[in-house]
Amino acid sequence: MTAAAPLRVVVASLAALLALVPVGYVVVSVVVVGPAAAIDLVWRPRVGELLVNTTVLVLATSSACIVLGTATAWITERTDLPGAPVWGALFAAPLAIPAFVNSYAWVSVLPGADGFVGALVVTTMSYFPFVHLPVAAVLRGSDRDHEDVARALGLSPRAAAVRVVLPALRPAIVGGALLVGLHLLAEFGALALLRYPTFTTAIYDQFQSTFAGPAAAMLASVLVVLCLVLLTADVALAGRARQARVGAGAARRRARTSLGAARAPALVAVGLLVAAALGVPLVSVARWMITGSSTTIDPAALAIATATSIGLGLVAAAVTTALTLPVAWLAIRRPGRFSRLVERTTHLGNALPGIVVALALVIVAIRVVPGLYQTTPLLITAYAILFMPLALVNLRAALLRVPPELEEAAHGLGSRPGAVLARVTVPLLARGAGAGAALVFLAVSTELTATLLLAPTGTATLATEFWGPAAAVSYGAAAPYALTMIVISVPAAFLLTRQVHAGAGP
Amino acid sequence: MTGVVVDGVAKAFGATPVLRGVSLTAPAGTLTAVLGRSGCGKTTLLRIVAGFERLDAGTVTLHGRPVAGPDRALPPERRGIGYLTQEGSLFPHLTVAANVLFGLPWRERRRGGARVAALLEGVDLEPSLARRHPHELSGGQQQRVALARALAPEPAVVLLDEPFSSLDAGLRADTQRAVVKALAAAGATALLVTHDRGEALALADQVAVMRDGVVAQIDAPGAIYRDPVDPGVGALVGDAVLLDGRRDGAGSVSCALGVLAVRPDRQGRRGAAGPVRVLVRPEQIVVGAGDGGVRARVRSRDFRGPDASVELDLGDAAPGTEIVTARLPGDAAVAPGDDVTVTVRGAVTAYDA
Repeated sequence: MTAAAPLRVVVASLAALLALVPVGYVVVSVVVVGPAAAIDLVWRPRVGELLVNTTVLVLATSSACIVLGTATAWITERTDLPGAPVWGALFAAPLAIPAFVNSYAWVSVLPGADGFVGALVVTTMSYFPFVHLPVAAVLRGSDRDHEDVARALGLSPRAAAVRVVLPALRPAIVGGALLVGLHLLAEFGALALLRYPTFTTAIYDQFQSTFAGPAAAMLASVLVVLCLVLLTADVALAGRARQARVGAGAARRRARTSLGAARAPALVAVGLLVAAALGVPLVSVARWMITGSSTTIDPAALAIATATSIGLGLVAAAVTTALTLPVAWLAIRRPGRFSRLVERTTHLGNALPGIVVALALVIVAIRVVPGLYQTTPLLITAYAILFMPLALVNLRAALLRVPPELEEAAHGLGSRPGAVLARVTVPLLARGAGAGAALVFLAVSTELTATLLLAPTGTATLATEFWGPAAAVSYGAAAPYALTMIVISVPAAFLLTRQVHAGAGP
Repeated sequence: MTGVVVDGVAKAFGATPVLRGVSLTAPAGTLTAVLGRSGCGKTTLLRIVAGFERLDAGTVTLHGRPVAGPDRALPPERRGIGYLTQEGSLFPHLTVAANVLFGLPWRERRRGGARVAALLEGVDLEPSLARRHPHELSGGQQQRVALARALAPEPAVVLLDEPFSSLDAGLRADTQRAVVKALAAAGATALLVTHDRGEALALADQVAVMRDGVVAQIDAPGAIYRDPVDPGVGALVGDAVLLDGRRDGAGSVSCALGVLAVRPDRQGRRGAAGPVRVLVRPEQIVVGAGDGGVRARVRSRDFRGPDASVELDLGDAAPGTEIVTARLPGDAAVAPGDDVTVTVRGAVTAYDA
């Protein structure tokens, strides 16, 4: 490490420490409560029920997303389905609809769509793009010579798919399923509307009744353990499978598999899927906008909520980018144990549910830094912890493309380290930093869980203004906010799609 | 016994014809090189023989069994072929052993340890490589493992798609030797697609030159080099000096290199008198100091170690009008600006102009 960059080390360490706060909160809570009391709080029928609910939903939805995501990726990338590129875009589009908006759409259309089946359908429709996108990217870029070789060695097309194509897809499928699982563990709004209790919704309820007491903390600790289980399972399932492409021949353009007589049924199937994943939420929001008896668009309130969401998003994007820039710089330019540790730690937010982060910050604000509770800086800190990985991944990818010789040339011309950063590195990083900041902005502008717990009293964001009436079954009143959030999320979905296509995933 | 028979195969991609009636016969147990520039259709031909592409017209027969025709195509997995790609295409998620055993039935894969060792030895590889993953091997090792994998199910026909082109020169020669040896030991009929004429001439029992979607000539390497059917094929299989000349009808031709002996064609004909194109190989040109031959001035010399490429200006009266390239031993004492005399060793080939 050069002595020339102490500020960067300090900021990067701060980012890593922030990311550690939620885990620290869980550990400290368990220690403070004491093992006996902790076991009493965790070893309850209610916790068992939540564990079953959460586990069953994670397993069922991940499986459904794997099947749907892989099937849609194959049919759009490898078959002669008419309009395949358009279908591919439509299968990525559900990312633009926040899961709790999707949930609201389904419940308001089919009031009986609650409980497990409702949760399974809604979360699958919202999350299957997380599997579709990486699998489609691998199918597009994969070496089709492997399939030819397998065929020449005597394998039928089906056997070649199982023994060659599926293993090549495995990391993408496992990675996508992990994202689905982590989102499910963190999901609050969608499942609360569907009245399907999981740890996250239970923690919220507990917080409402007993504030940030030991009961909530113990539930949070179980939730964190579940996250760790998922992450470990991901590592085990992705396995040692090496997917590095050996050699670098030009990929050959190949004929797509003919669907033949299955073309019509396939079109009907993809049509139904798009109708369920996109049609239901869009039509339902539109219907409430037009005909809802409780639809009273208050332009002033909508404008204030939109402005607040945008303002919070902008500030959070700036803070998050500033925090992660030194982390990315250390990781790429000064690789080593310290840099790796800082980078890995900063990624924690990706795996931790918003409710745990929020709970941790509530405690810190009350016990450690009084006066910070229900302030905007605390809310921004929560956003930063949650969304630093989004910014980091983009900055890292951008920094990898900036040759260090350019920075060395600037040093050679007499610039001081800070000046090099400002005059050479940052301008070259602008694109990547911009994409990361945009993703943070868009994630913040539709964030619900942490906002509900941490926002200063009286703060109205699109998500919270949507949430009030939606939870109170005033579907019409929620519609304008739902529509605004969908409109704001479209660019985020587009950016995510591009990022997965470029293979710059975390 | 014929191994591979390709008869009148035509193929178009959309409106672009790629193969316009390709016919070639590869005797069983021999290696036939299909030589051509990129885009001549040689890879498409190989993929049609393998069964990865359908043909529009013609037939393909493998060891007496028709496998492809306009209205019939046996899928690749039922053709009994081995297929070697440019990059080897080893499965990255499998070890070397699992790659090699990939094409065998499940029962044989379960107890394949000894089989793997034998197959790896067959391609001159250490059996200890079996537990490695493909990315831990050099390019040449990868190609040998890929060949062991292709040979494991004992295919009657092995199809090789430029398997050496991605290897660097040092590895290439060793890998080529190992591959040819293993193919011969397996007794397979091999079709090798390549754009490298040295490789085609050195490795193959016969060379088929493809041009514009047809086989322009198919012959033994020596014959096709010595006696190409036209100047184009001649230039494709080796460096060529092409000169305008005049045949006298009695077995000689006069051109800028003097009066040279013409090789009779395969029917023993010497050809009628008249204007011709004369094909001389650079190594036939002998440079001397004085007595006899055509006078020339050395324009440049590219030293390459064992030999040197020398540009000679034959235009005594009008410098620069006739430039030929000769290949001389590396220790030949010529320098740019030297005045030399030039003679031609052996017979040359003449084509009606």
